[in-house]
Amino acid sequence: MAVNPRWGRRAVLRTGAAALGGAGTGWSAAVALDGSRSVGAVGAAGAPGTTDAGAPAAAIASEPELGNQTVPFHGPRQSGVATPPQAHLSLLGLDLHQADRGVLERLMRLLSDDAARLSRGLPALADTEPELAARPARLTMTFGFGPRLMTDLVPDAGGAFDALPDFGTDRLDPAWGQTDVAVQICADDPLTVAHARRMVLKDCVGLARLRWVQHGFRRARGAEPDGTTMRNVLGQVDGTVNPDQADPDFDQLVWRASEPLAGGTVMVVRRIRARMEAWDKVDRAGREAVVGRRLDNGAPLTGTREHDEPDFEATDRLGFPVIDPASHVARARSDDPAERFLRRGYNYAVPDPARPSGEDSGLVFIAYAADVGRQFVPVQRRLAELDRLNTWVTTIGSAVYAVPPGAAEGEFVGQRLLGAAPPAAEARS
Amino acid sequence: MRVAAGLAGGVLVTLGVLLALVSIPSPAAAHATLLASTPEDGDVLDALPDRVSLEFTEDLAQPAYVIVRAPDGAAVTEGEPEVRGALVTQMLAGADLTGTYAIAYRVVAEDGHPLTGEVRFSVGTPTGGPSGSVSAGSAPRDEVATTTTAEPDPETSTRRIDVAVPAGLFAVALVLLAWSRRKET
Ligand code: HEM
Repeated sequence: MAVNPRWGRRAVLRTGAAALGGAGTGWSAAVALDGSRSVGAVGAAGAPGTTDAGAPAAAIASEPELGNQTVPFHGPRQSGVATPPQAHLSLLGLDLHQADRGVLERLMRLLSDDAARLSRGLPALADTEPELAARPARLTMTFGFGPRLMTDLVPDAGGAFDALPDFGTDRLDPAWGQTDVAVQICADDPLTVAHARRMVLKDCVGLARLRWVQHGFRRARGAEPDGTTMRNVLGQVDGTVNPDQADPDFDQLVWRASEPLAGGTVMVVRRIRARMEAWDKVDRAGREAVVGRRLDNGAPLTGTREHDEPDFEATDRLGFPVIDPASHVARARSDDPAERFLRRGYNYAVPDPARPSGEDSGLVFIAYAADVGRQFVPVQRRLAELDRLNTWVTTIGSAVYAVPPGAAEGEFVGQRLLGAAPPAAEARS
Repeated sequence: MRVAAGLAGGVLVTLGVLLALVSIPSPAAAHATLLASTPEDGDVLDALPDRVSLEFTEDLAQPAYVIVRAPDGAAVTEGEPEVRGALVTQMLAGADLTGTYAIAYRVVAEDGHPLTGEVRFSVGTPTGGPSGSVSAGSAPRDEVATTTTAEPDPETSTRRIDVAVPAGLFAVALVLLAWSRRKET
């Protein structure tokens, strides 16, 4: 190939050198600037939006599909338990001004009416911001009654709804303690949750006082395919082994079969703080060994895919179990198939300038079981005895609530439990 | 020619340094290791001691696991190992066979770092090692229990490319420069 005489060989070589050197510099600079390579590269993988019962089946292209989806409030069972978890949580702990049947009835009548309307995308009664109700985004509002109310108002409950026993590893702060009533508000949109919360708090005036709110979050709906197991703030895939509505024993594990709470369940709330400062010092091998599962896809250390069955007998070259018997999954799993329950927790993170990490974060652990004493307590006791994860997590709040069965159209939640007559004057909806 | 050779040398040194940088594993934090043991690795004793102990450079979390195997492969441990600070003690019981024994351990440092390894000692005359033992030759003293780290972490490999590509470009640039200088001299 002829070289232009005015471009001597040397010049060409030098130019080439300069160009390549420049390219190298450019690449390095780009790497330095683009801290995260994935920005802009992902996002094309669309989440197949599933439609919940009651949602308009074929939305017009410009209609916001996720925001319009609804979950029915009325039915034999309360929503928000078996409902696939929405992205946002506001869990309210309320104390009645008086542990009195009349007060509870009045409150539950108001709240049930709100829930029935808001879950359909309709404004609450006397809603001052009716436009905010227009996007239900799978809103559910689930109600539970604490042990004090159950003992006072439902004498035949037979101790089935007692407070949890003490666990050695708990460091409970009364600020996150047991209340009379819990309202679990969940939706795929945070403004929908905020609006529903405001309606609840307005109803409480004169009847109950708010003790705490526990906000929780998962990934935004649509950010990943529906049905993806959640990730917690520690980076773990959390919720792999969990009863599924399709399982034959789901109903038995979650819903109570016997009166006075047939069709209801029991909700356990544990606020579990994670010491992220210390967790930061654990390398990947350590993090995986603590749980017994891989970080990338949640597979057991003896498997390759998330839902592979862990092999607790498998040993390494030296004869030690591959899954540490003190790991979280080894300790949380019981040989007794009755010692299982539904986990439906959320992440939390709130500012805390007193901590080196600048925030207090962890899990709003929520579990549902038909019989907490039989199903949940033995597991929590075993974890309190020994679980490698305990080095980094501490339960700072604990409460338990009887969750009455669902309300029929025109009824309020807890009506049959409280033995109240159907409210003749209240047949609005 | 001499200039070219010098430049080529420079290129090689530069490349070497870059490659060395690239191949350093990223979380190079100091982790716990085995500090000492009783018996020590390679010790030859007259009789089987009633316990073995392992001392690490950092305090340990509960529980720790220890398996001591006799030359015939049988476990000679009695009860669970006791963890006190950075020290693990394991009581022994069993036939006092002569030959080489292996102490296998798996511990977790307080910072969550798991550590696995083996120490060997003999009673009477050393033999190849317990039949149940893995390493018939030199046993790895400290071996980190790794899982996914065995596979290249996609982020690490990206980071490597980000160093390797510009390094390659610089190297070619230097070679071209050297070549152009050669023509001058
Ligand atoms: C901050 C605290 C906790 C964290 C970070 C955590 C994390 C995890 C992770 C990553 C898994 C493995 C994946 C899965 O199957 O979900 C798991 C499993 C499990 N956890 Fe937790 N967990 C915590 C607290 C609890 C508590 C308080 C309980 C109950 C008392 C519990 C009960 C279980 C159960 C039953 C399993 C499934 C075990 C099996 O494989 O059979 N966890 N947890």
